[in-house]
Amino acid sequence: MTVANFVGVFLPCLTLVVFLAGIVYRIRKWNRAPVGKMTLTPAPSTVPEKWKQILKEVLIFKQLFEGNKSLWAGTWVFHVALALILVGHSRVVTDFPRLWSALGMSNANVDSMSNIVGGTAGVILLVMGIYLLFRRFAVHRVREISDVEDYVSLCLILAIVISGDILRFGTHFDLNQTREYFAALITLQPVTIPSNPYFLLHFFLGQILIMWIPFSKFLHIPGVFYSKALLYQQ
Amino acid sequence: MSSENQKKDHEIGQAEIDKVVAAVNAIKDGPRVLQLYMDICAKCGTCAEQCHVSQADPSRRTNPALRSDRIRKLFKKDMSTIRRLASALAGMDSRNLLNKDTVEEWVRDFYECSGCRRCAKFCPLGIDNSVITRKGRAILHSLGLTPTKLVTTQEVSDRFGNDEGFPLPAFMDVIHFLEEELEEQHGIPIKIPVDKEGADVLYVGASADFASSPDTVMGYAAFFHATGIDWTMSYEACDAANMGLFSGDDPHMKGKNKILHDACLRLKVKRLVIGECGHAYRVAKHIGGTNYWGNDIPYEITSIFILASEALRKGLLRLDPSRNSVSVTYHDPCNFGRSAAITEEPRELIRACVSDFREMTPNREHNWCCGGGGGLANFDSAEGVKKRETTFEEYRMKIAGKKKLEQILATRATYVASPCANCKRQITQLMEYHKTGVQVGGVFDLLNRAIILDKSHRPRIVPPQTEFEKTDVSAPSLKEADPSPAKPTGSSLSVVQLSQVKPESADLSRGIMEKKAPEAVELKGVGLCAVYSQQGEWAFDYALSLARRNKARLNIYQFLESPYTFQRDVVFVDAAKTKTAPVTPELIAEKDKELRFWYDERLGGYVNVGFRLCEGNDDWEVKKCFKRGDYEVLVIGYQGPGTPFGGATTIEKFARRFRGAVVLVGPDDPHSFYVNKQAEEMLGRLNIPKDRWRPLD
Repeated sequence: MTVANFVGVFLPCLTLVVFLAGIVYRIRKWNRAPVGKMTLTPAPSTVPEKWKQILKEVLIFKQLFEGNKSLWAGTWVFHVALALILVGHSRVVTDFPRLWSALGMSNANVDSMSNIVGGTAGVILLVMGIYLLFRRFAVHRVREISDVEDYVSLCLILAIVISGDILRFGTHFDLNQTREYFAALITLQPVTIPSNPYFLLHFFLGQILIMWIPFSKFLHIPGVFYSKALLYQQ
Repeated sequence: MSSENQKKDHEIGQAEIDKVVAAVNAIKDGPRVLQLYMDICAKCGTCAEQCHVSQADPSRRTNPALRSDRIRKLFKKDMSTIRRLASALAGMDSRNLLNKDTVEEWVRDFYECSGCRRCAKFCPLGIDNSVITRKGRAILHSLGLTPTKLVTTQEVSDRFGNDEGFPLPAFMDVIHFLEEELEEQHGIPIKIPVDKEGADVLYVGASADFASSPDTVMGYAAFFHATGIDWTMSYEACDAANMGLFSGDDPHMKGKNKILHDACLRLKVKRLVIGECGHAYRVAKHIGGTNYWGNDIPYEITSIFILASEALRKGLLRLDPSRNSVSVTYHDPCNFGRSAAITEEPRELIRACVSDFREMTPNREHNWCCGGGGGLANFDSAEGVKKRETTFEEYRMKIAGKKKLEQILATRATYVASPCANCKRQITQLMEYHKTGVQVGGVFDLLNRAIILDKSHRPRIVPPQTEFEKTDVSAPSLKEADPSPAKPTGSSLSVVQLSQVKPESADLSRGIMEKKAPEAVELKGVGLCAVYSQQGEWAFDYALSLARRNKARLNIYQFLESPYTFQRDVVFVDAAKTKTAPVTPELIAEKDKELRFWYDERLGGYVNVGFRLCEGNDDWEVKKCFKRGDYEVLVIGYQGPGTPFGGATTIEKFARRFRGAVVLVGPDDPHSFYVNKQAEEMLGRLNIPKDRWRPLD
């Protein structure tokens, strides 16, 4: 098995299985676990209000804003850039010609929008990632609670960001390659794996990250909704 | 003796360590909240910035995330293979995670967190470290490593149904005492109904209030009287405090809550009203109540503050704010603010009772913990200290209470209203330790002073005499006390202390005027608060000479704990504050014997002497004996200006407020006397040389 085959054929199947199995296992376990009453007051009094508040806190990091503005700025911008980039990655898999025509955008428009927004987000993500890593080293109270896992996960994200940024800014990378690849992969046809080494690295690290989500601190992505729902139950 | 037995040296062997590991591993099938908290912490460090302990002492072990990691890392290390791989990758060495020493350190780690939930308020991921703290405490409890004070309080509570260990006669005695005080303060009889079936409201507070905050309890009675609410207290259910929340002992928590539930059913009340006690209300309303006994319980659970705020809005209370001339700030107890959403009601009440109210910042649900939460306020000893030098008391005064101290001083208020027995004790000690001169009390203390009661108003329903009032305790009163060491007569620890006091019948028709003792030419009784110190000796010499000269009875009151430190404990702490012991009849008998031996040789054959060993160190028993006419002048050794004494902030304040004559002897000279106003009026009988006395002020 070549490196390309490993990263492009074997690993995606493994990633899918591991991620789905892991996350389903987690969620099922959380759902089945007994729940005690531990409301943190003042709490919203109805279920819709509860989810409104949770959504607000998750989307704007309200607690951090009240508690620590610099950390808020760092993490919020980091997460928003990350979310933007994840949305942008949909174009790597496929294109949305109908959407663009409905919006009245030409291919050139879409590409320049992608360059500006995606490029900016990619740089911001890199800068904020470095800031967060720096903060782990520099702030004494954060350094003392940081484990190898915390450094490894941040470095992993940084490596993915750097390889992604190289793909965007460094070499010319034609998205048609990936679109064809993913279309073939999903329909179980023989695939042509894009041969750009940075793509292979980026894709490889990305899959490692996805597989790691159900077994690491990245569980905070689904977990935050569960834990806040516990704090604000009626 | 018993102190040794109690403080069992728990050996931590492999069996104990296995037990810890098993308990931590069981989290994987445990409550959702713990499972989540094991998984989702992103280690952002926000909690350390929002923790009062971490802020005051930024050392490694105070970091909330690291405290929780004690359990989290242990949990993560032997989960699935992938976890193990991840832990190996993360450099976690399981050998370093748990051994005899670390388990011992857990005692301080999990008891130095007061479980105030402030970190949960700021955690972006919604992690409430207090849940992990409580889990850690529960594990320690299963190993028998819970601090002695908490264990004995739970034992006392299991035996008596209340944390203070009041037997029925003592409880009734306090009730009658409070009724008399109320009548004196308000000029009309105010009844405190006990175990009245069919009342609308069963009122339950913290039993600690009876001893250390009688003014608060009087405030409740005045409040119910003014609003005409048909209420009752109950002896069986006289304590809503629940140590099970603090020790992680769920069966105890449920058992203590059942007492309230049973009383509500038995007395057929419509509402269970919890008093000024944050955790008690949280347990009664949000942890127990419907969660334990089903949604169809025939009574509603509410807080005295909600009732008071309703009464205020309906205009049922007439309050005169000018009667409270102090400037008041309000401390939000964590369990009210962050766990029960009671923040506005107490403020409404305070604003109506005082003319100068100031907020401290931050406040409400963002308030800093007093530093005594989670049961900590009651710990003084050096337990759990192996490598750490501080006793719990020093820790509370210097570290845990630091934020609170700064916050209170910044308001420049002279009175902190703090509706929680835990917070009250902690903040009172804090104010005294740092010599701030700030008073600490409850919200209903302020109401009791501000409330204007209709003098012609009589209670609408005069409750029938309860059967308890007929129970006459036949133990001899102090005056007939046998000078030989008292034999403990029962298993109850307070019997020796309190049952000698004959419960006076609550005769409502008796006027206040009749109570005043007729002027006597000679003294009939001299009271002495004994203490083994230089000034205590001087006070003794003076009191004895005074008694001899008047052929009067010398009544010696010995406090189990020094009255000069002001703390009320069911646990006896020796002078060095290292050894604690529960107050058992044996301990009381031993201390009583010590007292008699000490004074027998000093009395020089004077036999007209009575001894009384007062449990704890607060002063209400001394006050009660004065009321009963056991003495007309109280002599106390004066250790210097500003010394705390028996529940009052300072001994001077105590003497000024005391209804009878007080003579303080000392502090530097056996012939230096400080007298209060009442003593000044009867100077002629006190045998003090003209130029040797000074008025207090």
